[in-house]
Amino acid sequence: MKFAKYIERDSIVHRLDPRSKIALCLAIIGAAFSFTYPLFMMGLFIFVLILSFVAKIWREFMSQTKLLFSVVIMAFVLWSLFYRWSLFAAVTSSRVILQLGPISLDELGLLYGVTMPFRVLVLIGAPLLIFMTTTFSDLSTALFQLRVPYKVAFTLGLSVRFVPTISEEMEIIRQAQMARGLELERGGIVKKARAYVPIFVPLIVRLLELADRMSSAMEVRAFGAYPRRTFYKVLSMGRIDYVIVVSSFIFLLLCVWLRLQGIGTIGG
Amino acid sequence: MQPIIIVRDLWFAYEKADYILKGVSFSITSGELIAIIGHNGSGKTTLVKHFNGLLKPTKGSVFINGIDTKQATVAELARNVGYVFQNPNHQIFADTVYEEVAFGPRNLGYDEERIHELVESSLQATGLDGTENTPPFALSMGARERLAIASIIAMDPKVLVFDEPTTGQDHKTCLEVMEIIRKCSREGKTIVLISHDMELVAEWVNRVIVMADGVILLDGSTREAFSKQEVLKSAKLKPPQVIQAAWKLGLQDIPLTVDELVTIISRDLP
Repeated sequence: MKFAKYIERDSIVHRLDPRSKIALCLAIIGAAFSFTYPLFMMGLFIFVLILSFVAKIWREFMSQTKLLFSVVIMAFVLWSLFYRWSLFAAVTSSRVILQLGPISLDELGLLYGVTMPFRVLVLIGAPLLIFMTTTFSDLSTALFQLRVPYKVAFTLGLSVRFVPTISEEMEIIRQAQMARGLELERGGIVKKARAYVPIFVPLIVRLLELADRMSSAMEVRAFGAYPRRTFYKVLSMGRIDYVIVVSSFIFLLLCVWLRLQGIGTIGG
Repeated sequence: MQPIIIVRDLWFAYEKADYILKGVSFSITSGELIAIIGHNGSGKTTLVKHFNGLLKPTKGSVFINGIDTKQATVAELARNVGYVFQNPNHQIFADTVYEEVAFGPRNLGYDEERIHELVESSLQATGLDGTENTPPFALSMGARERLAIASIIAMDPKVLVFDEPTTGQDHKTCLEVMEIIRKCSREGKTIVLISHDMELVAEWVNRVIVMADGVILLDGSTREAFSKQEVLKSAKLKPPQVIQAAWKLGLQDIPLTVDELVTIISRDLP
């Protein structure tokens, strides 16, 4: 499984200027932080799913989202049972549904328990959608045209480009160690965590090796030889891009306004 | 003799209906030294990853020493099949050479005495004895390759799979690795070698399976495989120069080494 890898398709989302995709993504993230009520968060997630459908990467997007399954389950359990101790939860008295010794599940907890997994999905899904529909060079160019210094923009783009490489490397290492009899599934949490040492040590070594090779490759191609850099492909915003940037901004303002009115939040 | 590996009409796809292996069948007898050759993407690595259960058949079945791989975990199959990955840096993690080699047998649950024996004998077999306390990352690339092999041999599997063990190695390491493989073969291990290096295959291996686009084009003795010009061409494989020379000279017998070619020429040509 190549996580967050760019997928070449002919879709309107692919053709959008990366800057308008970044604007839309930031608006979605802002909205996800504005609301705590389950229905609003589900709405946002469905919106992300629709975007993946429009981008024609629906199938790949779903299969990558499945990888977050355990995180989603954990978010559900932790929030529904322990929301009271969160700094960000509104705590009011609510009807207890289930009492298990000192741990209790009440209605408010259940609401948080449903919201938070969707928040996780939205927060990871929205940027994932950008990475899956934008090449790393376009992303770097976009950041540069947003006046981010070129070296920083390139490094950011490169780090995104490295995510699928890391997951590929990790898969090879996992297989190599399983072939040596490593068990990853059995045992308690401590034993499982220890089982990952033979995976992470070679992974870190490999990544340093790759980074070293990459920097040499960049140097022999005269990276940073001139202080000012020009581009072969200059990105330009089309009409639809402006529409998306402006409506993203309005959408975000609307969400913040709703939030201030206490709409879309729990226990507000 | 009982076959140790049986592959029966094996089909495999990562994604629905996009088959990488399309109906592969063969068996390997215990103690054989066999090479699987084919161009990049022909499915050879995908095929051998079925031997230790890293991949499970989409259709068909694979039996290792009588065990259906669908019913067994990779760790269980690791007792029977040792798999040496291409890049040793994908597996080296321990603080010392000794610990690195002991990792496999320890996972298999052997007692310390047996582990010590296995580690020492496999370090000896790979010429790494005396480096027990060296950090693996301090070893040269050639020595790391031998370390990777030692750490698999130490698990004492019946079958050893080598995925491109000589790619990117210098000639000296290449010979060292092949000597180790030959030694294992003499001790009765079944050896499956994946390789691009036709010279090496011609010189060291008895049986060859030629793969292209997920099917087996040819399965036979090395001499037989290298006498079939058309099959090799359609598999996009370029045979060793001795064999090309024999073809061009129109020789009846197919030589596998330079010495053999010289013998045939001095016998047949005036």
